[in-house]
Amino acid sequence: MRGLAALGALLALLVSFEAQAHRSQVQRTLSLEPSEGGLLQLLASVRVPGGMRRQVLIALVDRDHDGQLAEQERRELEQHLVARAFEGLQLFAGSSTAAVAVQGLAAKLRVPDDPKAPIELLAHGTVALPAQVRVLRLTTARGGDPLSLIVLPGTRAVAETSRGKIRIGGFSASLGPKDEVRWKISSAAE
Amino acid sequence: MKTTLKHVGLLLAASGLAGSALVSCGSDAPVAIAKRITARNELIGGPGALGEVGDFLLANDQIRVIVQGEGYSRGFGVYGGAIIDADLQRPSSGDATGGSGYDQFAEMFPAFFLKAMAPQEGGIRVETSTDGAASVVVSGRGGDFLFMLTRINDVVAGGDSIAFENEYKVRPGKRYVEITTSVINISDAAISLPGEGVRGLIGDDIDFALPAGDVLLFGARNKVFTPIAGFDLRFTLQDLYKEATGLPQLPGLVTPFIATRGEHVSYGFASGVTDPNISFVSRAGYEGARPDDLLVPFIFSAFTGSFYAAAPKSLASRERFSFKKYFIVGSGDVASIRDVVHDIRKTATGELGGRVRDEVGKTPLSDVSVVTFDSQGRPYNQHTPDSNGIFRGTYEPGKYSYRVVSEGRFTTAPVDFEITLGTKTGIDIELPLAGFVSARVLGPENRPMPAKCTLVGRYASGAAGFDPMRFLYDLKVGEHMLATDLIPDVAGDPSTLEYIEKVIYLGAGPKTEPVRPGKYRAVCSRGIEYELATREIEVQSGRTATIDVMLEHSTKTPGWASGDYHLHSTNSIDSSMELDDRVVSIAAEGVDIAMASDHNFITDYSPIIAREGLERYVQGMVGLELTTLEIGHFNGFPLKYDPGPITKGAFEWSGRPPTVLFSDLRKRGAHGEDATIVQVNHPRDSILGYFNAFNWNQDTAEPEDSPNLLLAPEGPEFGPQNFDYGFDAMEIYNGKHFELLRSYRVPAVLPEPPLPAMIPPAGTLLRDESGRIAFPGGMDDWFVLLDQGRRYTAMGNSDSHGGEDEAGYPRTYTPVSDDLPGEIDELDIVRSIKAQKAVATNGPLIEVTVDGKGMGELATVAGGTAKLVVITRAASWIDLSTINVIVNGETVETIRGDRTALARVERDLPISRDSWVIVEVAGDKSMWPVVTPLEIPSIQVSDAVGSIASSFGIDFNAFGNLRPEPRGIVRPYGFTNPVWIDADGDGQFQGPGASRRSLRAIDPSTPLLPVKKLPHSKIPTLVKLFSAFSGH
Repeated sequence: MRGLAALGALLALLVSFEAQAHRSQVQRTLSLEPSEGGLLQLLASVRVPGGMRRQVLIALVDRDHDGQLAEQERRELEQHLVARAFEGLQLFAGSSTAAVAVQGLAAKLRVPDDPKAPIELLAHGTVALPAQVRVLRLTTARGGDPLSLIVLPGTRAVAETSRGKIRIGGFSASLGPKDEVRWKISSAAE
Repeated sequence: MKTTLKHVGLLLAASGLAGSALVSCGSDAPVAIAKRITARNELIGGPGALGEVGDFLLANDQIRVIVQGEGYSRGFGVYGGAIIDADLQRPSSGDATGGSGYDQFAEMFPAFFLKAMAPQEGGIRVETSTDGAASVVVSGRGGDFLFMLTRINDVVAGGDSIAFENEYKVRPGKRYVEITTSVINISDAAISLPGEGVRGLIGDDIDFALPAGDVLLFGARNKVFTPIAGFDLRFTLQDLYKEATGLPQLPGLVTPFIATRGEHVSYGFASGVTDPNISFVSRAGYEGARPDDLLVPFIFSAFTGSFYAAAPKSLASRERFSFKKYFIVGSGDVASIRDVVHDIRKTATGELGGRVRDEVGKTPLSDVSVVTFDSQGRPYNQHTPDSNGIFRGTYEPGKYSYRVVSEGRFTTAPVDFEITLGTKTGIDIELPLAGFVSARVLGPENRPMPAKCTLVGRYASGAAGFDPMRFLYDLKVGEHMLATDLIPDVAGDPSTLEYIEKVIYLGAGPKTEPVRPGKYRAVCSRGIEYELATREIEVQSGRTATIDVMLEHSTKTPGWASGDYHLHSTNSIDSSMELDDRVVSIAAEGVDIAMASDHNFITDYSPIIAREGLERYVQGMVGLELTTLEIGHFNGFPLKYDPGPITKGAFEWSGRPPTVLFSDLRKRGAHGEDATIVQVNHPRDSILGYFNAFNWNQDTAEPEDSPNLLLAPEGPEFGPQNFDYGFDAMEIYNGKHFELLRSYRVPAVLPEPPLPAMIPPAGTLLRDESGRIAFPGGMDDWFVLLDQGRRYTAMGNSDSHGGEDEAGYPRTYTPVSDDLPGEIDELDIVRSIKAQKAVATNGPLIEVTVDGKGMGELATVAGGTAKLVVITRAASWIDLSTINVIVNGETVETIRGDRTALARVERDLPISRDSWVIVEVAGDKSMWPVVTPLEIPSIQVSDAVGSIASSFGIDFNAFGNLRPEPRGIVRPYGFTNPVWIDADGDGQFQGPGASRRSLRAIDPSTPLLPVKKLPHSKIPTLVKLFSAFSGH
C-alpha cells in the first residue's frame, strides 16, 4: 500500500512539473511527506521558464558579464532561488501559534545550456514535528510566487483537508498571496 | 648617523612651523623636523584633530603628522604612541586655540598578529639624521587592543616576551612618513613564532608565518579605497570570506595599497617590505601577489586590519625583526596617494590628465569623482578634479576605462583610454547638467519649518527579487547605498519595488539639492507628531523641480518633551555627519531634545542650533558616549562642556572598571552628580553591550565569568566582580535593532546554512551547550531586574550616526513643566527619567494608568483587580494594531484592533501579588519611506576576529546563521515604563527576584533535537526525488 502511495505521489509530482512546463511564469511547488522519526520531509521546487525570464535572472548574477555562470555566480543564483522557494511560507503544527522550522536544508540547481530551457531548483529539508501533532497549516504571505502544494501520505496519510481532494492519502492545492491551507494527518503508528 | 634634535630644533621652533618656513637656515633646501609640541599653535587642527600639547610633531615641507604621547589613546584604540593627526602643509598656521588644518585621520598603530604597541613611560624620543630626515621613535611593550584576545596572543604571538619599537621618519620633500616597526624578544629565552602550541594545532607540515602589520582607523569622513575592491571593501571582503582559504594563508583581500578619498586631504598606506622572506603574502603563497602587497584580513567599525610582514620562525633572546611601511598624505583623492606609491616603488608610468566640464555652459566641475578601472574592469584609481575641473595622475602602461560619479547625474558608462610609458594621455569629459529639487515645507503657522522630504523611486520589474546592490547602486565606484523597502518584490506590483533616491533635510528655510533625473514620489514629514504630505515630481537634467507643502501637527503632546538621548556626529570616529547637518536632521524629525553623545568626545549642539536658526525647534543637551572597547558603552547627560581640552572633557577608560567610569561620568554632570543620568547603551549589542561584556545571566540575574576560556578578557576592569548596578537607565530600544529587544528563539523558517547540528523546535529559547541563553535580549534583562525591584528606566534612542539611521526613531518622551524647545528645563528631564516616567517609541504615543497611578508610581490594589487604562494615539501614517499588556514579564492580554478601537482601552487586571505593568503598542505596517528598514547591518568584531580564527579551525560562531536577524522592516513600536502595584498592602513593591524567572526561563520540555539521518531502507519518496535530481 505504501509503495502504491509513493508511486501515486511521484506521478502527482511529475504531472505537476509537466503542467508547469508550459507556463511562462515562475512556478514553485512545495511537497511535504511525513516520514520515520517524527520528521516531515519537505521538497521545494522553483522553476524559472526559459527565454526572457531566464535571461534576466542570469544577467543579474553574472558579475563579470561573460555570459557564463562561474561557481560563485551559480551559488548566488542558488541562494536567490532557495530564498524564493520559501518566500513568505510558514508552516504551523498543532495548535501552537509558533511556526515550525526547516532543518538540514540542501539544494540542487539545474541550469541547462539551452537558453530556452527552464532553470530549476530543488531544495530538500526536514521539519521535526512535535509529538502527537495531527493538524498542520501552511500560510503564504502577501508577496512570493504562486505556490502549488503537494502533500504525500508518507508514514501518516491525510485524513482531512481544507482545500483540494484527498487521493491515495495525499492531496494537492494551489495557493495565492495571503492564502492558507489546513489539513489533518492520521495518528497511525510510524 | 643620528643626532638629537636639541640643536637644530631650537632654530626651527623660532621660525614657526608652516610649510614655507621649513627650510634650513642659510639654504633653500627643505628640511624635516621632529619635536614635542609645546604650544597649541603648533597643532594641526581640523575636523578629526586629536593632537594636544605634549604630543610629537613630525613635519617637512609637504606634510605634518602628530604622534600621540604616552598614555591612553585619544582616538579609538587603547594606547598612545600612534599617528593621530595628519595633513598637508598649508599656508595658514594655527593660533592659540589650535591648528587650522584639515586633519581627518583617526589613528594607526602597529600590530603583531593581534597584539598592539603600548608605549612605556618616557618611551618616546625625537631624532634627526644627517640626510635631513627627522624621526619620532616610540618604544613599548606588547599590549592587547582587544583584551578578549589576550590568551590567543599569549599562545600565538609570544605573550609578554614581545616588545615594540616604532620609528616614524619624515624625509624632506616627501609626502609620506616612513615607518619602521621592530618586534623584539625581550625575554631571556628564544621564542617560537607562532608559539609551539599553535604549531601543534595547525600541524608541522604547514609553514605558517606569523603576520605583522598595522591597524588603521581612517574614520567615517574618509572613504576607503583599494584597487580591486574600489570603495567597497566591506562586501568584497565578505565575498572573499566565502572562498575557502587554508593556512598558511589567511582570508582577506590582497592589495598593493590602501587609500582614502576625503575633503581637502586623503591618506594612504603601503607596505615597504620587498624581501619575499619577510613578506607575509609571499611567504603564504597568495597567487600573483608582490612582496610589497598588503593583506586586508578584516574591517569592523572604524578598524581596517593590514598584514604584510612575516615573522621569522623564532626569535633569539634580545633579537628583533623589522619591517617598513609608508603612511602617505594626499590632497583629497586616491590619485594623489597612488602617485606617491608609484614614486616609492619606482614604478614605470605614463600620465593621465583630464578636465571635467558640463556639456552646456562648459563650466568646470570639481564636485565629481572620476574613477578608473584596469583592463579587467577592476577599480584602479580615483581623481577629484580641482576648482578648474582639472585632474592628473600616474598610471602603469596599459588599457583602462573611466566612469564619472556625481550628485544629480547618473554615473557615466565606461569610456576607454590607454596609457603608454612616459607619455601623457589627455581626456576631456563633458557631463550633462545635474537635476535639482527645491523643497519648502510650511508649518501650521504658515512659516517654513524644519522637515524632511524623501524622494521615492521605483526600479524596473526585471530586477525584482535581486539584491539591490547588483543593479540599484555600485559601491565599488563610490555610489551611495540607496535604501529599499525590503518588502518582497512582486514583479507586477510597482509598489513593492521602491527605493529612496534622496532625502532632503530642511532647516529653518527652503533647500535645493541635486537629484538624478527621474520620476519620484516626494514624501515630506516632520517626525511622528505630524501628518505627511506627498507630491509626485519629475526631475530633469538642468532643471529644478519644486516641492511646496504644508504639514499638519495632528498629534500634539503638551506637557511632554521628546528626546533622543543617543546621537552621533562627525566628532565620532564612525560618523561622517557634519554638526550642521546633524542638528538640522534632528529638528527635521521633530525631536525636542537632542543629546550629543559622541564616542569619547563631548559635543555641544547649542551653538550650531543657533547658527542654523533652529532654537524654536530643537534644544541641545551636552553629553558623552563613554565608549570602551570591551566593557560596554555608557551615556552620561547632561554634562559640562569643557572648551579647553581637545575632547572637551572626555576621559580615559582603559583599565578602569564600571564603578569608576560611572563615578567619573557623574562628576562631569552639569547640574551635579545626583542630577546626572548614566545610561547603559544597547546592553546586548555584541561585545559593545555592558550586559554581554560581563556575561550577565538572565536566569540567575548575576554577571558571570566568560564561558569561553579562550576569549575571556583579562584586566582589572573585567570579571563579574566588577559589574556595577549604579546606573539609572537602560537603552532597551536602540534604533532599528528590534533583534536586541527579546532573547532569541528559534524562528519558524530556519535561515540558510551554516546551521548548528542540533536545533531545538521553533519558538524555544536558543541556548548554548552549557544551557545559557545564546542571545539574550535587553528587554528580558530589564524584566528580570524589575522583578528584583531594581527601578531602571527603559529608554528608546536612535543611536543615529548618519542619514541611513534617522534621528528620533525611536525617541523617549518625558513629562516636563515647559515643553517648548529652548525653554525645557534639563532638570525636569533628569527627574522624569529617574522616576521612570518615560515612554520609548518610534511612533505610537502611549499613556497608561493602573488605578489612576502612572508610570513609576505605586498603585495600591485591594480586592484582587486593578483598573488598567491605556490611551494610544499616532499620526495617521503610523499604523496601530496591537496592544500587549505585560504583567511581571508575561503578556497577559493581546488586544488587536484599529486605531479607533485602541484609542482607549480599559481592563480589569487580576492581581494576586505585588506586580509591575507595562504596555507595548505596535503596528503591522512598515513606516517606509519615512523610516527606512535596517538593510545592511554593521560588521561585528566577532566577524572580524572570526575570519582569522576560522583559519586555525577555531569556530567563534557555534550557531552559524541561527542568530538574531538584524535586517528588517521598521514597524511602529513603543512601550511604557512600569506602573508598580502593591497588592499585599505593605506600601511597597516586593518582587519575586530572579529565581522565579530562572525556573520559568528554562523549559525542560524542549530538549535539543538531532537532525536525524534516516535508515537507507526507509528513504521517503521526496528524498529519492531529491537524490535523483541532477543539478548538472
